Amino acid sequence: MTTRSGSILAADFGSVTTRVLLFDLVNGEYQLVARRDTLTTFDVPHDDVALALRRVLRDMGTAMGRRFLDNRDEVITPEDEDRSGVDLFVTSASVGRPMRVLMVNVVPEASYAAALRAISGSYVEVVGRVVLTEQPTVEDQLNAVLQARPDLIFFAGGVDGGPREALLRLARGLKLALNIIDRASRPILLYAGNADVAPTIADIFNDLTETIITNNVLPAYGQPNPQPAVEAIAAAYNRYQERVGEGFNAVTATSSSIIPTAQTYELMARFFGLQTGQNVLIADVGSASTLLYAVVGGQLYSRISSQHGVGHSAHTLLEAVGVEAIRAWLPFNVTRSELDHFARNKALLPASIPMTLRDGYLEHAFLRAGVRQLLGELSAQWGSAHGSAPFPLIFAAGSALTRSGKPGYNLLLIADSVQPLGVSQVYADPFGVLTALGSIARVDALPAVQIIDSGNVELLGTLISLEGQPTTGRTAARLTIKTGGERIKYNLEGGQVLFLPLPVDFEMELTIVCTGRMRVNGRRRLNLKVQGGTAGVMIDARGRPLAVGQTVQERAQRLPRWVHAATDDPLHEIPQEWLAPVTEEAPSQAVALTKTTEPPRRLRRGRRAQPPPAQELPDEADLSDVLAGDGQRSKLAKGGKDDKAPQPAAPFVDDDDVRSLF
Amino acid sequence: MYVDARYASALMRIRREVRIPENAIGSFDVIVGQSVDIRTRIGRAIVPARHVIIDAAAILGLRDPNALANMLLVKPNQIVSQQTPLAGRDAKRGKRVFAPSDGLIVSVDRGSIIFQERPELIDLEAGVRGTITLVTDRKVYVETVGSLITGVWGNGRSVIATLRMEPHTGIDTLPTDTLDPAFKGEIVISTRPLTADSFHVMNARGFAGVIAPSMPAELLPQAETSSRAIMLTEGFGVPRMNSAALDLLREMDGFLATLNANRPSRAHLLRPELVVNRGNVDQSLPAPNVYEPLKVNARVRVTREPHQGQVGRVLELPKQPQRLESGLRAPVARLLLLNTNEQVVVPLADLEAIGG
Repeated sequence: MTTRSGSILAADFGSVTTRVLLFDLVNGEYQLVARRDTLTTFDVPHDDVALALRRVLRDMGTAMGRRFLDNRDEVITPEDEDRSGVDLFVTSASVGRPMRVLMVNVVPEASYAAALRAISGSYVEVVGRVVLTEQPTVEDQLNAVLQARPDLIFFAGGVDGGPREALLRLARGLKLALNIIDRASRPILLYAGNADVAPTIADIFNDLTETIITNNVLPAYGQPNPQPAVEAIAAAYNRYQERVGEGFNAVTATSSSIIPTAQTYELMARFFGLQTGQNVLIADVGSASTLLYAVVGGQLYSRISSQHGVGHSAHTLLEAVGVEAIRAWLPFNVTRSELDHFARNKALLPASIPMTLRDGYLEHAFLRAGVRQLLGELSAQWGSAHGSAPFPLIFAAGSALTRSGKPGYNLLLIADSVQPLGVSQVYADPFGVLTALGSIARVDALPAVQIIDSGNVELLGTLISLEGQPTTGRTAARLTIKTGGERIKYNLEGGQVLFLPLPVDFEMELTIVCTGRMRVNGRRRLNLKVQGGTAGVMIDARGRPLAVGQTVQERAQRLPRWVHAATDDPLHEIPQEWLAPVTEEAPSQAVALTKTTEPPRRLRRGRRAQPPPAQELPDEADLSDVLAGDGQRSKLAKGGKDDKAPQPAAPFVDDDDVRSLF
Repeated sequence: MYVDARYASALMRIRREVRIPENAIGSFDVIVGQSVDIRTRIGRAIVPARHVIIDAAAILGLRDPNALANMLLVKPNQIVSQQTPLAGRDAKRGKRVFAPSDGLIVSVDRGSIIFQERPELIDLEAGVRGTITLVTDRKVYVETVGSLITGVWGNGRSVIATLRMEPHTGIDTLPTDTLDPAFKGEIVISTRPLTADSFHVMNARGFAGVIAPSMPAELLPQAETSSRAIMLTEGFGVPRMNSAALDLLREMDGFLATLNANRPSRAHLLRPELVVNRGNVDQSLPAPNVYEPLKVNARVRVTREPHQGQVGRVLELPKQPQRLESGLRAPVARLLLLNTNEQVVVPLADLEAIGG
């Protein structure tokens, strides 16, 4: 139990959504007591990020009968005796353009590589580099600074005790450039090089611009030390945000400081990696950027891309992954032109969500293809060739992955995007609890630990992913599910996803016997206890890498079935005209098609459409025998509370009926 | 619940933001409270060009680099043309240092002249008749009362000119081999999506700018390099113009207008907009209440298919999220579409307030 008595307010300013969480002591332990989110107001017509915060705090205050803002509209801190305000106010942000960074280094393989590693977890865009070994003239240095117009010059080079002259030569060029720039526009200078030169650097630059000196990113050859530079970059980012204004000044007046959202994830990934000793993945797919943090074999890896956001950056995502990568996730034919229009319009209206079936598939194709590409790049860092790894713990954040409105759909999107191997506990964090925890932990670790332990992040459930390449329609694994006293057998087909709606706090025993070359956790047979969640348990027999379908016809069969399995919504059919070949020469036709195509009639009438006549469901006769018995549906009970007597013989049933047993 | 706002309003308090472009340096020379007219230059900026370091001391054979100060023929911040003598004992004869191109003397440092090749100069105009309400290092707010139409995309150009509706047959049908001055120097309103022909016509006829609902994304390179200001009200593809914007534009045919075809980006935050000063209006009109959430009866615009660009009135704001055809579940509003009288359900995320 903690002795702290105050409340904690955490705000995260995303590109589209501003999330605010209030934590307070409940029975001596920190709990999430209120949360709100609203549209970020960074953009015109408001041009003031603090407005979204004030809107939320006014609403929250009205709902709770509590005041959070003073007469100047600033957050009251510390908390008053009448419970106005909060004890601690922490903020994180990913909104706005990334901080532009000019890298100035001595050797590409040494200090430049170490410096890149230090900035990899921050919202920065490297806009240029000056590397001494490329023998830049003073004029080159001057133009590099003046034309790149960086917000930060990240100057790192040499090992401690190493030669000084090379660094001083670079410093002279920088000094000349800074002298030319008007004082108000000069970039912040961060020095993280040879410690012996640091006092001289401070002497040269202190009067010229805001200068931050920190420990060397490479104090000795082969011994990178990025952490002090990471923290210094956070400080620089904070000053940069204050400098650019947009309302951040009003926020920082009472908050501890603004931490880049990316750094909060880094902290949490490290924490979960240490706490569990297992591989961990945190994936946040945002409007402007995507962040991936992985702990694999105890090592932290990260990949942040401001090209792979699904809103503001949709068109750069399309450029990055290519048209074919998007098409590979679509159950219909599409022209390059339609994709271009979709991406460009999404970038203009990043907060919008798809209303039509076609738009829904397009939006999710961007999401899946973007994460797949980044995960491929991330996993290359630990030497994986197939873009994944076993992740026993997965956290997903960002509206695209966590706010479909159905936990099962969220879980499907996460499975498709991450394609983990083996057994994973999957959490969704639609309200930014992880970000808040990362911010809080920098100030006070105890509340953060208590909040994690009290289950404030949504547990979607357990994802079990079979490895190998299954044959569609053939049994990929035989499942035996023990629910209380009951035992059910089920043949899982290749290409199928099975959702078992096992609720949160419930467990079941599961035996998986793989057929052919299929494996789970590297084994043919696996007995395990699995935990439920808001989405339940998802058993994925689509193989790894996931076979979405080579042809549009295959995908038109498979994708709707997967969505149907995940959401239990009526199975929708892909209109036949969507499968017709398209020609790139007629981009406007594709657009016209989306305008005139009506949704399937069956769906519009609200009746369940018939599934495509592709596969027979397994062992229907057995199923009818079982269900004909007494018509009762068995229930899963925690700790074996099910009162139904065990069946003498375990029947084979189909997926709908397995689901209904829960 | 708050929704985004993209105005199509006949009369409202408008805050116009004038910003130094991201790639430029500059300053403003106005103060808060100052009255400005549409054409008032309120600041200047330059887009830096390549800098050249001229080792003048070496060229002149000076042993002491500091001696250069006495031989300078120009001053820092002076604009010079190519071959202007920059330093020497005499400007007309003897050993001299010449400007390598048209440009600007930036500074003199230890025997070297730092010279900037001719930078692009930008005059920053107020754009509206109003009052300065904020001045920072990189932006200024000018407030006024008038008509405002916010678009979704612009090509980064600005222009102040007269608004003119396209001919009934559309701008693509205008002859290009004519001396007819109609539409020359005007902002032409196109009710149809732009095509490749539209660009040909707007160049040949000398339009100052174009406001159109949409254009194919394939035309982006042409639009981005066009010297005419182009604003789209709906987006890319072939959507038609929303009725609120179109009705207002028709009403303003012949008015002097400021078209800021700002190019939206993650960095710049600006949206393209058309501002029209209206004479004899109450200048004390209050600004929109930013704390007012979406309410029943509010006028809104739908931003996505299948009702993209349609204007409606909010009939109901259901408390529970509803399932959409896309399979997502989201908070929604029930709308009456004003053009068709059809009742539809639209996610709040796909609505924009458009003002009165």
